[in-house]
Amino acid sequence: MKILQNKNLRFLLLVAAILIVGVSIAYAVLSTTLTITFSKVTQNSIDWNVAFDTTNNPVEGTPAGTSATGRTCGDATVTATTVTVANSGVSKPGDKCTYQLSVKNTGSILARLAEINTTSPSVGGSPMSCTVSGASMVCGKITYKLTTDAAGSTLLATNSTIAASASQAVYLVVLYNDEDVSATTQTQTGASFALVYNG
Amino acid sequence: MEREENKTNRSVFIVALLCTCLLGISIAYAVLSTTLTVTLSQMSQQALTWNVGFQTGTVTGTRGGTDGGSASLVCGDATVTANSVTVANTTLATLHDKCTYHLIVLNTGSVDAELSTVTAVEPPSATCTENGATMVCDNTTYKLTTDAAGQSLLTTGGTLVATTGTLDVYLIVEYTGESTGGTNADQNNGGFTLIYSQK
Repeated sequence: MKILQNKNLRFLLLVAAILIVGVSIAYAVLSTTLTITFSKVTQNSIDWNVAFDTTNNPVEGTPAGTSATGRTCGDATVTATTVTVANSGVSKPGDKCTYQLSVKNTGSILARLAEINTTSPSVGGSPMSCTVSGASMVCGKITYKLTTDAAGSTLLATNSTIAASASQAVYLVVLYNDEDVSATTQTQTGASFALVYNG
Repeated sequence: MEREENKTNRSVFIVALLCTCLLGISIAYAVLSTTLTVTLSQMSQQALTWNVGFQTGTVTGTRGGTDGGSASLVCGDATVTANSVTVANTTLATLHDKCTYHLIVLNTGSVDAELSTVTAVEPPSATCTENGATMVCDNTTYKLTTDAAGQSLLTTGGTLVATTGTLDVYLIVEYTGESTGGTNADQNNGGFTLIYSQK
């Protein structure tokens, strides 16, 4: 009480109070609240469906070359995820079997060919040593490849895409790659390609 | 103490939440991937042989012409190997003098063959006119025919079947000039080249 009766002290307290209020107001001016609001976020449903087209099943191989001597193009049985070619043969220059396949994307998003994996055939129970380059595999006198053209010139490549509701033609080509006939017979079993499509 | 416990509980909750999110992302990614497989059950490369050639031996030329050929007509013997015929020195003395050689082409291989090319080989010292399996060089005509009379020229195409195919070919050289020459004219190394290809 004595303190408050002191005029000078009362004045100082008043000034202090004014200053505090002023700083508070100033601080309030240097602070702004920004607000971000999503009115609505919708997550659409996604369909994923990439498979072989089974409309044309079995697929007959298209033979090429001179005579049919030593050449047999077995039928290809097609399911949604597998193609299996029956026993076939190529034995002289120019012999070739071509199978027209189709990969369809009936999902709702783009499909990308992420990987092409090959499995070498076996001969007499032992895996062959083949030269592999993308969708091409050369195993002795027989070449296996996946192409995007019937002539067998353009190899199927990774990072190719299939749009939603679209299809891509893929050709399986098997051919005799030597310039001369061979005096020995060879049977190669189980050559295969695995195509991995991702969304 | 209580504050420490709350802090620990909160940390555990955050970690659990993060793990759940990561797991959800992994599952979602695995669903958007399809593997399509192409398999060849068995590819056979059959043993084959390619063997097209002349029947070997020595072939005596058959004399021909006016009254069976002039007294000075000399038909040299033809020495025949699997891929060549060499006729010894031959003399055509007067108009219509002729020598005919009966050759045989054999296909003992396992692949059908066809005659794809017949090419005349001009003797360097003469001026020649060629037309497939016939060649006229100055006063001398060379030809390959499929009949002994020399009427049917050998042509490309046709099939020489595997293993047992045979073709009778007649090599004929004849004096066809308008008049007998004043001096002897030698024509060296005239002949024909036959190319057989797989059919």
